[in-house]
Amino acid sequence: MRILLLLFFAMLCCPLIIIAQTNCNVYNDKPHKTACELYNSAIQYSQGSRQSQTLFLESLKACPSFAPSLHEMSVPYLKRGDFYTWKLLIDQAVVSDPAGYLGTRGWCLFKFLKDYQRSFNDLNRLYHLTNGQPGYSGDGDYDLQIVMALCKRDMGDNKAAILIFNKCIREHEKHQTTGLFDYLHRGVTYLAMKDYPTAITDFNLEIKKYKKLADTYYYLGLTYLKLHQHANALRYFNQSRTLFTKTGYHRSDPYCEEPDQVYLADITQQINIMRDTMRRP
Amino acid sequence: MYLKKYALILLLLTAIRLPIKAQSNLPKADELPEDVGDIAFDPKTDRANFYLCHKGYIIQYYNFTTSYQGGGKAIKEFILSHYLYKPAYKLTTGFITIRFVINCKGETDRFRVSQLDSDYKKVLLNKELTGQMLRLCKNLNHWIPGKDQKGNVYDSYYYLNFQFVKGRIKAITP
Repeated sequence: MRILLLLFFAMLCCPLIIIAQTNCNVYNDKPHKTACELYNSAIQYSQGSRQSQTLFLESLKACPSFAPSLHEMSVPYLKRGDFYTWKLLIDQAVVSDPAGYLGTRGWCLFKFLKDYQRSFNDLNRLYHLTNGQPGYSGDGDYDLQIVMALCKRDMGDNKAAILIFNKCIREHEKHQTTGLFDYLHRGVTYLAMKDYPTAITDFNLEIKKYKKLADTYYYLGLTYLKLHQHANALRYFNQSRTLFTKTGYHRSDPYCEEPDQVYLADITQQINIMRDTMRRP
Repeated sequence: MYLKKYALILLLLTAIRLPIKAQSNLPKADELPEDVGDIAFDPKTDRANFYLCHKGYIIQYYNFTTSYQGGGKAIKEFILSHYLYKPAYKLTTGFITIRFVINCKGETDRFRVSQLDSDYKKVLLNKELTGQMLRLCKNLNHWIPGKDQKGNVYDSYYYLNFQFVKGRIKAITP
């Protein structure tokens, strides 16, 4: 029995091992195969180190259009603010494999550079290349359609943003796969459009999805403030502060400011304004 | 017939040349620093007495969340409230990135400026504007040095990227 079980696990594991071992053998030509092997060596070293970058260059010597090396070599330049070299490399990766790297470039243009027009152009091109399934952002937080909507919003076209949000969220609702912050961003967009009831609906949906996110309560507070419901507004601002400082979470990222990220100073400022307003006779 | 052959050869040569041309734009192996983004000490511009806790080992800001009091919001508020627009900047559209070191005491030095146009090509933008942005960055005085879980503080690299459209600051990252 034990032997049978061992054989069963061995059979389960075998395909995995084979895939791992033959990774670079999927390439039939020598330049790609060599480039792939050098890529594998490069990623063993710390990102951005001379050893790693030198091996990427070797890899690209073997095959100048090897997109994984072009992309991986570009990453430390992006993270460290050398956008010239990053763009140079990622552009070549996109030329080599548009479907593979348009999403990465579009996402990074959005996140690191707030270059919304170029980001949208990339993601829109990818959207059409992939029959409306562009995939997810590098950090996994967003369907890239949500990023397209955010780009439209941040370029000032709230109506276009809402159309994209709606289409994407509707698709995900069917499979219960809405993103962690989708309702929050759509709600903030409705808030900017002064459609306060719909904004509140979205913020409540967001709370159902992510109960302890301080940012949502802050925006709920702002919405009630716009509706002149001061007691409700203050209640949500206080809840937001408690979640931010004690029992919950707030949006943050080690690299960049997040879309619609709220700071503690924003919340405190609103609470102080509200208290002053409510004290007045 | 010959024309077709020549055209084909020409096409092939072009196709082969493209990646080689692209390759020549890559960073050069013999010019790679120990780590991407390293800033070497320059006696012409950098303070000789700028203290570093760990000489030869400067982390990136995102390794141990080097930050600013009040976060990115406070940086933006400071920059935007102190930035002086001048009509002479009207033609300036592009990016100014300023990279620097924040030491373990929260002090800054080793500032380096790079300038790109809106197509991410290297250019020289308005000198006065670039100088103003550098001065503003040098005046940010409330840095919180990167710290690991044991409480050890580190020297780290940071950068601020300013996106300009017609001389106005459109975005500040990260």
